[in-house]
Amino acid sequence: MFIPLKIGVITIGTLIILALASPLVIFFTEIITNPEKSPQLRVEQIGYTEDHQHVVLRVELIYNGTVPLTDFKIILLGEELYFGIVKKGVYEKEVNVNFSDIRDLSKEIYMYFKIAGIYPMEIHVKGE
Amino acid sequence: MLKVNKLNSIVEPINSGKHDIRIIKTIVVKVVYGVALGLIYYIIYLQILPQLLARITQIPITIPLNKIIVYLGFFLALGIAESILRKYPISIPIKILSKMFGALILFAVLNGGILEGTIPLGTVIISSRINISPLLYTIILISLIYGFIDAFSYFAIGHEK
Repeated sequence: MFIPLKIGVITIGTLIILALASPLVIFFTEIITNPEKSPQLRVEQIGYTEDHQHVVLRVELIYNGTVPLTDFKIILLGEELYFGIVKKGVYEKEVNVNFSDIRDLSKEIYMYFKIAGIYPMEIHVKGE
Repeated sequence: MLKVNKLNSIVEPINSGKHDIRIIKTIVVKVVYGVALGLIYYIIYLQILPQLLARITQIPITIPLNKIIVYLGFFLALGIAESILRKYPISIPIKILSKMFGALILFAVLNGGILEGTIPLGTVIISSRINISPLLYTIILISLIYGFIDAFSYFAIGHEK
């Protein structure tokens, strides 16, 4: 009685672990074998606000991976940009920033998302 | 007649010392089996699972040598205890304890499921942090369920008096 039960637990357990680990394995395999499949940011200046006090930036999030990312948010120059669920594609957001802050753009970028809605991941880029 | 034969079969080996050798042999076999069991636990919980997760996430997991020795010692002790006391009711908590201990070590080694790594790229430093605790808790839970079933399989084997 116990041997079939043990085999059953090992089989079902292994299947559950494989199912749970598969988004993680696919996500990291994709970004390691092809870095273009990792979430990428493109920031460009598209103009000024009407009062000419702020610069308008277009933030493009490009993602080519197959694993959906949820709760995706980016903090750029202290501004939080929430993208929510991100699947393969290009997502755009606009943000207004002070003129003086533009030079600090590459100094600090923070990204947060959940791989397949299960595994929270944070990426922090700090430059000089 | 039967009683006399039985008595002879017990008394004779004791007198000749064969009985003692058999006991020593049994103990040595059980200790060797226990060491193998402890090594299997060590390989699963301290080598295969952490290295697999490190490889998946590309975040290195390092375990200090002194901790490896302590953990290995515990695994070997529990493996030997489990092997020697296999046919006694005390094996039930020992088997559960060894699986719980493995799960606890895995939890400690993987920092509770939070893995962190830093990559310097010229003047830029990229640090990443991933929380794999859902996967870790599932592995621990399945390991404990298996541990309980394995422990209660005591009732399915013959018992020594």
